[in-house]
Amino acid sequence: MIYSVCHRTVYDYESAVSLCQNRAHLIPRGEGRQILKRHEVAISPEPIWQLRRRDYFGNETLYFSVQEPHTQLVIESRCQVDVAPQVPLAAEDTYPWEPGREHILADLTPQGLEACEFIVASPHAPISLKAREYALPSFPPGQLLLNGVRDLMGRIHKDFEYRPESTTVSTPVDEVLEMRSGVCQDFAHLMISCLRSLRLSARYVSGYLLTVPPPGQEKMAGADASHAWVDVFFPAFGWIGFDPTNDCIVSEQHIVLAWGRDYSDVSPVRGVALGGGRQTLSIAVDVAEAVAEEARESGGDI
Amino acid sequence: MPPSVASPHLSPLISSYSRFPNVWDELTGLNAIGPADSWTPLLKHIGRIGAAELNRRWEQALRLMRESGVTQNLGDKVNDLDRPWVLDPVPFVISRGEWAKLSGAVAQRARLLNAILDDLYGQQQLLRAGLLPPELVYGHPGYLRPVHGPEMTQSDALHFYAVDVARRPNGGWVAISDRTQSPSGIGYALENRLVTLRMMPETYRDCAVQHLLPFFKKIRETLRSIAVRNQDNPRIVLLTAGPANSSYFEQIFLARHLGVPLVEGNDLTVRDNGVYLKTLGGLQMVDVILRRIEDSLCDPLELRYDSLSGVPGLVQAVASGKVVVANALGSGLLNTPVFLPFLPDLCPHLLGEDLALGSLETRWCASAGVIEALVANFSNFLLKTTFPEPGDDPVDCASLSAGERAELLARVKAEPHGFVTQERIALSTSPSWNRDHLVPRHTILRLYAVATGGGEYMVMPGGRALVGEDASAGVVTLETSSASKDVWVLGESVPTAPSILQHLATPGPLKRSGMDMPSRVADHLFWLGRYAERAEDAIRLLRALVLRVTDETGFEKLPELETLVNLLAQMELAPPAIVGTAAPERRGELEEALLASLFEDDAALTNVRQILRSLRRAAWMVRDRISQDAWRALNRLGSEFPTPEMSRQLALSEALASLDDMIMPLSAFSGLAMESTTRGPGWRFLDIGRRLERAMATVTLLSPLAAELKESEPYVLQALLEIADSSMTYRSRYLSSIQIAAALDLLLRDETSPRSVAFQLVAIQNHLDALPRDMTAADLGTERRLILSCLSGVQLADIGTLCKADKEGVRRSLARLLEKIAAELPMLSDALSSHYFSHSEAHRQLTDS
Repeated sequence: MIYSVCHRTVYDYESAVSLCQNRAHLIPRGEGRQILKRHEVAISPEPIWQLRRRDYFGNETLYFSVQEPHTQLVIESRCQVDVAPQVPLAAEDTYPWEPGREHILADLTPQGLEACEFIVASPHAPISLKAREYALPSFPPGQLLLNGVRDLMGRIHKDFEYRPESTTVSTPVDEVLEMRSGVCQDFAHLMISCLRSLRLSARYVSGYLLTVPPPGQEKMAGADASHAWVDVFFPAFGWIGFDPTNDCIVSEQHIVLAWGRDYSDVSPVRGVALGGGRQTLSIAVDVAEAVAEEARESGGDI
Repeated sequence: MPPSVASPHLSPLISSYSRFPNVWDELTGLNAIGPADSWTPLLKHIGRIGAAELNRRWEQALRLMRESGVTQNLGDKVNDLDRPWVLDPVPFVISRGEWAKLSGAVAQRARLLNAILDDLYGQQQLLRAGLLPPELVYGHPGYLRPVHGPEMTQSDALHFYAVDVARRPNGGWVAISDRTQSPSGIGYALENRLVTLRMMPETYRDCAVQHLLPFFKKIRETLRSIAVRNQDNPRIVLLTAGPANSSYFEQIFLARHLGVPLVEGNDLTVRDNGVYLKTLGGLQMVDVILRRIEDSLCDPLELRYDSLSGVPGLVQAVASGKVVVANALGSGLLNTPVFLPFLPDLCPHLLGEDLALGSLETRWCASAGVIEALVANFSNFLLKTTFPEPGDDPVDCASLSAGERAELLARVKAEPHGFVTQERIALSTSPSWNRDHLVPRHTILRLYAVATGGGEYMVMPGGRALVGEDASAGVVTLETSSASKDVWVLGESVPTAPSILQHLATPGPLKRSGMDMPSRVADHLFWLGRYAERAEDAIRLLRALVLRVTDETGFEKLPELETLVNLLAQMELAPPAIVGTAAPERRGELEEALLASLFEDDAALTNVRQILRSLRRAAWMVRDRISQDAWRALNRLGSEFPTPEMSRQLALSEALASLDDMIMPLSAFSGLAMESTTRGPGWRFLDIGRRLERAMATVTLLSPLAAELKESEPYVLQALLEIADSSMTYRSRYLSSIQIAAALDLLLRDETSPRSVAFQLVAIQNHLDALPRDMTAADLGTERRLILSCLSGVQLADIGTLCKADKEGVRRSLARLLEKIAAELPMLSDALSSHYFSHSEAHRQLTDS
């Protein structure tokens, strides 16, 4: 399936910003089940300096700085991505979770070392006793890893209410556990914390969902903004994506932007500014099948 | 039998020295009775100098250090900045042979840690080969992913290294902890050396102590050689977290010694991927940053987002190769003890040598058998967190109760990855001076090394010895140590240099300071000038009042009192309620109010205590720009000001003496600050601040004259002349007849009188003309327009007209002129700020999208 994505980020400032420095993760990864067909990022005012570089996790990262006084910063990213479904994995083909995690620690190949990056605590997905307690019922002794992860995902979906505005990007996992509500980022961070607290390997994926679902399917939560889910490492197989917000294994409707230990590694736009006073941030995301988008474009407006 | 006992000077020192059992002692080894040969010359000298003389020299040295503000603040509050550190007069002595082994081992350890950093931020072969558990690196908060990669590891990562060492009971050296982040203390070591040397110059010479100078020369060379651009004359800066930082004094000292500017994060900005210093003359490119802030705080864009002390964009600037940071970002990774157990295997692997300097026996609780060993011999261990965070202090297991012990063991078993155990060792001791004789004290040495290129190191021949508080065994750290001492590495022959002091003070390359002054510094100097003058103005007014109130002739003869009391309220030195207390029956109230204006410790007031506090704070902010002498005057001012407790007991008559005492050091400070500051923009801003404040104060002083004061006028005029320190000039011109026209001319319009308003305005105008500005601009610019407006108002005024009152007794044209100046001078201050200091604006985070 080929998608067209438009992701517009606007900062409005009360007074002029004389200098800002930014880092953006807005260019989708083009590997594995995804082919990046084209992309462009338009920034206004035009940055005096920009640079593209792969970050530590291999995400395409855009750095730029605007050095003229401005009261509004607009970052508009457009891309076209071809997405294939994940290779399916049967539960029977996965290890029981206890020997599975030993397997990861003993694996010193590049893939094993990479998995090890995501066992340890990170700023937004810490190792937590509470998360461990919450996760344990899904992982009785001998539970197959895939079944355990599916069960955990299902419980998070059932126990937690999807409620925009109930949390901020920095709401800690333990607090989310307490409140039993949150948004896709919170559920992803919670699920990662649960898995890491059992010393399993899980990473945070930032991406998009199709805004208007295919005929006959319900619209998924998180489809109007950028979305987030979880990749879990299966020894001797690789990574599989799980979307706890929608209780599903990641499908071809999930477009991968970037991954990291948690949100802080891959936030779409981050910046530091001189001046500006009060700021307001607005974000609009639109994802459509490529053909449908072309039809709409003749209508003029997005 | 030791031969030295024969010396008449030596024997009492030795016989009174009572060493601790079962630990190594520097003087006597583990068991010996007599002193080691290396100590004999020093002890002979101390014996010859004698206790009384040594104490005298020591006192003098300590006073000198206190007055020049040699401090080491452990708290983070600005008010807390003044804990002077104590220098033990007895240096730590190491023989040449011992030093050769020890320094070689320290250099090897530096090479090893540098090689480990190089691997972990590059290929990570150590992880692939199973020599280091990956999760110790990946889970480490000090492992900074944004600086991983080939572009970040082009030169040595570890430019500066420090290690704390001590001796085991058998005399063998052991590394207690490694400092790879941005080791502090090199400057302290130098300061200790200078002071010790001043105390015992002949002893230093006779012991043939090795000099520190070559080490400092090497530091300069290294900093120059690591620059990628401008290798001939790179711009090097020392990046500090600011005056609240615990080793700020040392940073000032080091910056001065290396001849590099001390800058804060906000002084630097990244443009087009290069780092620039924001100066009065514009942006200037920086080639090398010697950082004294933690690496994770260096770039709020890519490292810790909550950092206020960093430079946004620094990581990418480093990646682009335009700037080099020393130590490299990420080097703090190896500060933690969890890597220690792996060093003995890593050393042969990376260097092909055996590790020469072992570490404290350290084990990671997740390794096999460690928890079992901990359970079996619990009290033998120190327990630390694997990745220590602020507040995670090591736990001495021997000090725990049974309940605490069970609780801690449960935590370790639940989360073995989070803990390491370390052996407790009986620390070695060295002799310390207790004003009468030598006593043994637990001692650790902090030794320093600097990279010399190609992964090699030079170790400072000396260092800093930290001395434990008392006899109790335990962990000596910077926080718990009671004193520090110089470290003397004995050389071969008597040094030939005539003056070591001179050598040590050799400056860097010659240069003229000027437009490269950071805007922030100009801003602080401006305020320093204002506060110094404000303090003086306040004290002069209060002194005039106190003098009158405590005058035995009584109140009724003081017609000027009411005006002076009103002025006090007008200058906001007392609450408005003070108005009216000049009446004779309210004398008690007035006295109390005056004492409060002087001494009350209430942040809401702008009284003398608060002004002095602001002055001190402003001085702290530019500590590195103020000469030692000026600083000493300021310290004296602080020490002579009564404490809140003392001032409560103080009668007004006694306060008079302390007011007189304050004028002197204040004038000394202002004079020295002016005299010892080069006539560059810094000096101009300091003086503009002072002139502006004095002009405003004088205008306020003259404001009562805007209305005719009838019979009290001559008395008021006399008081005003006195407060403005102009009585003498007046009398020499007009003898004793007090007339308003003459007084106004002297205080307002006379451009030759350094106390007049006109004099201040002319001085400010001259400064503004000399400051950098756009010469092509068609108009004058706000600040020059304002000063011209004030000055011409004064110059064009006719004294006769100014003195003339209307039917209601109001001097209209004087009132108008004073109001105009009083309104325009604050505007001038704002205009200066926005023109010259706007670069000092701070950055802030945008909301993450």
